[in-house]
Amino acid sequence: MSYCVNCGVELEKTQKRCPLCNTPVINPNETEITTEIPPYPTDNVVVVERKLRRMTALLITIILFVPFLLCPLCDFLITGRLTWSVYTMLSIELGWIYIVPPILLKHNTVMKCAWIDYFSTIIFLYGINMIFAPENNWALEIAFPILSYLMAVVLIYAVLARRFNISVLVYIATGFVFVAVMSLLIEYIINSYNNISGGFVWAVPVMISCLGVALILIVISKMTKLKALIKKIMHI
Amino acid sequence: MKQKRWYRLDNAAKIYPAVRTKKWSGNFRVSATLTEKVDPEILQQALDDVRKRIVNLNLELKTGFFWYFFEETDREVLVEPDSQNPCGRIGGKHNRDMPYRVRYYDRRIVVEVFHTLADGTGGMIFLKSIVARYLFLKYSVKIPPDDEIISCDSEYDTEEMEDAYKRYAKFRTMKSRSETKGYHFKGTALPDEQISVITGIIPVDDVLKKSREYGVTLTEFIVSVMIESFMKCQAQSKSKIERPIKVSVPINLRKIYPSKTMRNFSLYINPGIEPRYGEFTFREITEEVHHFMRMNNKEKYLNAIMCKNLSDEINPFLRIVPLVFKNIAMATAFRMYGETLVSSTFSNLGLVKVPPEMEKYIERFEFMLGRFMAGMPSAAAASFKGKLYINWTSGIKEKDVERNFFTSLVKSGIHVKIESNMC
Repeated sequence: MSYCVNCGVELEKTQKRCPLCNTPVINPNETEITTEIPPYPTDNVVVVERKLRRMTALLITIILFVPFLLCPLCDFLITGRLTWSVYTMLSIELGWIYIVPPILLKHNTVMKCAWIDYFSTIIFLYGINMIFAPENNWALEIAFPILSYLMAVVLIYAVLARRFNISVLVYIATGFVFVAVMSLLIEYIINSYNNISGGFVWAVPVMISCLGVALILIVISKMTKLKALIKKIMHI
Repeated sequence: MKQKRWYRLDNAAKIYPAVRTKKWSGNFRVSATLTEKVDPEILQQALDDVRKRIVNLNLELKTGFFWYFFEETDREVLVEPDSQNPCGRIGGKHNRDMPYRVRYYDRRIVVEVFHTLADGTGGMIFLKSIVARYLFLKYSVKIPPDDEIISCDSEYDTEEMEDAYKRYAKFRTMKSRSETKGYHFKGTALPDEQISVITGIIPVDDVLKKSREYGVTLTEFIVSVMIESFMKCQAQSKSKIERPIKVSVPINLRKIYPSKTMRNFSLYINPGIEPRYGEFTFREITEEVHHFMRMNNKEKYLNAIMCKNLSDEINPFLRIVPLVFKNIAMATAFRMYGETLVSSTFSNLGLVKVPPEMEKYIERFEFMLGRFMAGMPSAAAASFKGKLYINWTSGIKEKDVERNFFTSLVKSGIHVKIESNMC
C-alpha cells in the first residue's frame, strides 16, 4: 500500500507515479515488482477513420474531371484551338485544390489549407496573367500583395484564437481594422500600378468608417451595462 | 421483404449525432467488476440473449433527410476487449454505427453507450441485465428481475422505448436557457482520441458523515468540493476575467415521472457560484449549491425546461429544414448553450442496488463520462458495497482540478484511493 507524499491519497498498486501530481512512487517496503493486473489495459483501441472522406474526395475529383476534359474538347471542336477552355481548366483545378485537401487533411487543417490555397491562388493568377495578358504584370503587382495581406490576416487570427481569450466583439472589431488597412493597401497598389500620383481618395472614408465601427465595438465589449442594454433592446 | 421498424430520436438524443467529433464522442460508460475473470464467450452469449429481449440494443443510428432516426437491425454485435482510452468512438469492423458496445477486461464487464440511445439510468439497465444473464449462464444463478434488471423471459413493454419528454411535457410555460458563460479550466490538450481517467475510491459513510456536517446531500457535497477545486484553479490562472463556476448536474426525471423508458429522460441544472461577488468559504459554497438544488429540482421548473427544449423540435419551420443545415444549427446551439455555460459536469447514479443473489459475484459498479468537447474535467459517480467510485475524465494533461478535489477530501479526513489509466 503506497501513498503519494505530495497529495496524501492512497495509490493503486500498479501505479508508478501519482496520477494527480506525477510524483514517483517509492516504497522501500515494496521493492518487488507487483504482479497485480493494472486497472486499465495498456492497448489503446482507436477507431480507424472511415474511408468516407477518401470516397467523397474521389467522387468530387471524378465530378470535376468531366468538365475538365469536356471543356477543352468543345473549345477545340468549335474554334479549332484552345482559347477560353484554358481558363475553365485552371479554374477547375483551383476549385479542386480549394475543396479536396480540407476533406483529406486530418490535423491542423485550417492552417495547412490556408497555405495551400494561398500558394495555389498565386500560381493560378500568375498563370492567367501570363497566358492572357503577358504584357501586364498585374498578378505580381496587384494580386500578390493583396493575397499576401489576406494570408497575414489569417495568420494573425490563428495566433489570436490560440493564444488569447478574446470576446467575439473584439474579433469583429479586429476584422474592421483589417478592412481599414486593406482599403489603404488596395488604393496604394492600384495607384502604383496605374502610376497615379497623389494621396488616398476613396480609401480614407472607408478606413475612417471601419475604424469608427471597430472602436464602437471595442467600447461596447468593455461596457457590460451597455452590452446588457443592447441585448435587451435588440433581442430576437 | 420485412419492413424494419424505426423510431424517432427523443429530444435530448437529437443533439448528439449532430455535434459528435473526433474529440467528443458523446459516449458514457457503465461497468461492473466481478469477483472472477470474465469469459468473453459467455459474455457474447449473454449479450445475444439480452438483445433478443431489449429492443433498444437492436437499434442502428441512421440518417434521414430531416432527422436522424433509429432503425431495427439484426446485425451481430461482438463483445470486444477494453481499451486504455474509454468512451472513444464506437466503430471497428462489426460494431460500426451501433450506438453502444460491450467490452471486457480481466474481471470487468463494460457497456459504453452513445448518449443518443440512453442516459446513465438506461445504460445501467443494459449493464445489469447483461451481467445478470452472464451470471446465469456461468454459475446458473437465477437472478430475480426488478425495475433495472430485464429478464430474457419477460414480455416487452412499449413504454421502454417511449419518448418520455413528449409524454410528460405540459407546455404551460417555458424556461429561458439564457445563462452567463462559465469558467473553463484550460491546459495542454491530450491527443484527440485520448482521455485521462482518475478514479477515486472513497468510503461512502465518510462522505455522508461529512455531508451531514454541512447539512447537504452527498451529491451537493461533491458538487461543492468540485466548485471549490475549480475556484482555486481560476484564482491561480493568469486571466483577469473572473467567470462563474457552475457544475452541470443531470436530474433523473424517472424519479418525478413514472416512466419505464430506457432512453434519455434526464435534464440538467447548473448550480454554482459567482466569484465576482467575493471570496466564498466552503460552507457558503455548500449553502449556494444546496439552496439552488432545492429550488430548481422541482417538477414545475424541470417541466418548463423540458418544454423549452421540446419547443425547438416541434416548431414547424425548424422541422422542415434539411438535416445538413439542422446539424450546423444544432452544433452552434450546443456551443452557445451546452458546454460553454458550465465549468464541469457531475453525474451521480447513486447507490447501485442489485438482488443479493447477484451481489456476491460483483465487486464494484462504476460510471464514467466521455471526454468533453473543450476537454474540461468532468466527474461521474456510483456507489456500491459501501464505496463511492468517482471517475474524473479529462482531455487536458494538467490535473490541477482533480488534485484540488481529492486533496480537499483528504484534508477533510476522508480516505481516498486513486486509480488511473495513465500509468
